[in-house]
Amino acid sequence: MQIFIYQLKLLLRNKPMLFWTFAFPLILATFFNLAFSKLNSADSFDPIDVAVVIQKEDQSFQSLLDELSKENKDQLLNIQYVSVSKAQEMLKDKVITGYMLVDEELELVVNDNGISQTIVQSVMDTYLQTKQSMKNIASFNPQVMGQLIQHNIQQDFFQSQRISSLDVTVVYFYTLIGMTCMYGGFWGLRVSTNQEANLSRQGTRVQVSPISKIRIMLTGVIAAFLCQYCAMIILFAYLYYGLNIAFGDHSLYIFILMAIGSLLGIIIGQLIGTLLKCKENTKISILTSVSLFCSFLSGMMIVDLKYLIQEYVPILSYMNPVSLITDALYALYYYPTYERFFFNIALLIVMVFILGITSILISRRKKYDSL
Amino acid sequence: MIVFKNYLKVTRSFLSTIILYTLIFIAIAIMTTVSGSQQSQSFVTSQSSIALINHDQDTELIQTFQKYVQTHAQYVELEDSDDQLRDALFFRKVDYIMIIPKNFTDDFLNGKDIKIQTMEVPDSTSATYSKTLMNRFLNTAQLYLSAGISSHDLTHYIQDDLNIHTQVTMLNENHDGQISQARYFYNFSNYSLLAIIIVVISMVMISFCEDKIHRRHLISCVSYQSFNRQLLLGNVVVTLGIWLFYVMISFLLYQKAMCSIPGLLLVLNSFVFTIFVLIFSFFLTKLTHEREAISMISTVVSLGTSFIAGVFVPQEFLAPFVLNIAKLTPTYWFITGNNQIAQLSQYTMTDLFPVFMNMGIIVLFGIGFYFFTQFISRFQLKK
Repeated sequence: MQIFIYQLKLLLRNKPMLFWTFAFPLILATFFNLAFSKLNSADSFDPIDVAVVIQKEDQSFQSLLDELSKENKDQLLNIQYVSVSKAQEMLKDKVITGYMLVDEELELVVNDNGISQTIVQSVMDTYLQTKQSMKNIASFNPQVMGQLIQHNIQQDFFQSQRISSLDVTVVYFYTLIGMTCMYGGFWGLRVSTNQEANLSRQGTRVQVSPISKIRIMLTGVIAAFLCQYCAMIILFAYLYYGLNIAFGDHSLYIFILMAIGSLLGIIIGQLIGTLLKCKENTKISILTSVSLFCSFLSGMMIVDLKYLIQEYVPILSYMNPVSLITDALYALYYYPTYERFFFNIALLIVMVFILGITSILISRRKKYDSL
Repeated sequence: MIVFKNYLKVTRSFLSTIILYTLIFIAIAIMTTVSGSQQSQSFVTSQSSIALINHDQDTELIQTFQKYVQTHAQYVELEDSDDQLRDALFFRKVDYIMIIPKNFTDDFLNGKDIKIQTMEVPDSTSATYSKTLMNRFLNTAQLYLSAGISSHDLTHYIQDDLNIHTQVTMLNENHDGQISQARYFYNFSNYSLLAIIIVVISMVMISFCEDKIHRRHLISCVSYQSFNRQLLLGNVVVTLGIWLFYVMISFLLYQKAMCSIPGLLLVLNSFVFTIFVLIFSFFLTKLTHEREAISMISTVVSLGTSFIAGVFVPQEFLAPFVLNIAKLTPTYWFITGNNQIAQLSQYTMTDLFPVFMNMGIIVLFGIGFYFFTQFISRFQLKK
């Protein structure tokens, strides 16, 4: 117990590090939230602004346009009738997506490619195509034309299985949780520095004391875990209450996940500390790069990458702790069942186990010729 | 030059970091240029990605329908499992999933009211579009059927009709595809330049500032002035080396675009920005001597600014108040500068003025941080 308190004191005395492990994820989360504040609504559909230039009246086309721009929940277009010069000006100022020229032939004028332009084109296509179909029918079976007029050509054949929770931006926040777990490695690194005789004064003293190495290590890991887990809980509270990020309804599972994740991060840090024989500079930069690279592969910078890796190189995502944590959170949020969540958890536990044993074995063997 | 040599030696321990960041960076750059905006001179319809899961028999109607999907949309093959479909939809690999029920063809031909189940992102633009597109096929088919055409002739008529398209004219502004790719490259370099240079410069400087080492330097025969000058030289050489490396990659990737005026402007802009990053890293070493802290600061600064100033999320998707916050970071001006350069069509003084103004603002940031650094070190010396 005494050793544990000392280990904890050693960690807590390092004020700048304490501050940064707590503040760092919060700051990043805020940045993410800022970046996605508008993106969340980018998916939803707004009526498209279009100008119409009439050079030759086309009654049926105009009535179609009027139908589509009626103000209701299915409103597709937002049209205004103007002159050519006005339309060109509006297009240049990007007030409208494009303008339609109604003459002998229909024509659409735009100045960019995009989905809105395509929708406008598709509206005009529909009109032309239906006209052609009618013409065909009239040519070989004129008598049915009369009853076809009543036929509804705007029938809807689809029924949506309303799927909810499709907000892809949450994944960024999930990778952030995964990354923060990995940054727990800094505590692990510190712990290993504090207990290896060749790395610090405290380590020398600890090593000559008559205490078993496993006890030193365990107390160190527990102390580091305590610090790290506090940081995780604060981060989670901030994400959940402060930024209103959706997590599904199972906070208990998330707390378990964060505990395993933090433990894994610390053990990885400790392993880097004991295994590698290089300067602290290099160790820190390795730890940072590894956790960043893992986060990158789980979709922190480009969210599509998570899907691509899962699809084409799944083994990479099973070996990547950040990706496992991200995927577990994603499964809780999006999936109705828990299989995928527990699968991820199981893999994480296996990792903790293997790396933990390795770390113990390595530090057991260590002997110092001279202190 | 012993200090300078030593400086390079310490830098070498960061080689792994540099390589890793560069790898991440190149991967991002290539991914976005491949999938990113393909600017072309003529109008190209946007295609939404549609998947079709068939639970009915492989009938002629469904085959035609499938062919229709293939020509009018990006046809996505998906396994018929709930996991696969859900994942693909969540990551927007597919915009619209249609699940055709059993006996659909028979019911449809007999004019029964039958619905196809769909999965999509509710109220999204691409789903709305896909729905219109797919309904059009089925409506046309229904129209012909009610006119008494046999299901066999149906396919042929539908195909003919649905291949009619409106003529689209594109009023073009001059777009060069490659320069906008190069722009993405330089925009992304914001992330890796910030991350690498901050980590390397700050960490190396901290090694030299450690109390014991610092005292050892003070009693050595190298004069204080020369010592500092060599450190400065080391900083500048390493920073410019990293910058030059990135410029070289850009020349390799986008040869044609980089050898033009806008390409060179991009290089100049990134040079100005790199100098700022150097000054900023210097500032950080005065602020803290903790390595862990530096590592986290570099992550926060590089990722944070990249997210709010328009690197990972394009500026037009950012809310106005976020952009206002971003204006407080040089990254914003760097990115805006890059975007302006890519859209230049003429190179008169009035056209170039905003570009140079953006660079000027970055320089001002640099000067500001320089004085800040001076102020802090004066303060620390007094202590």
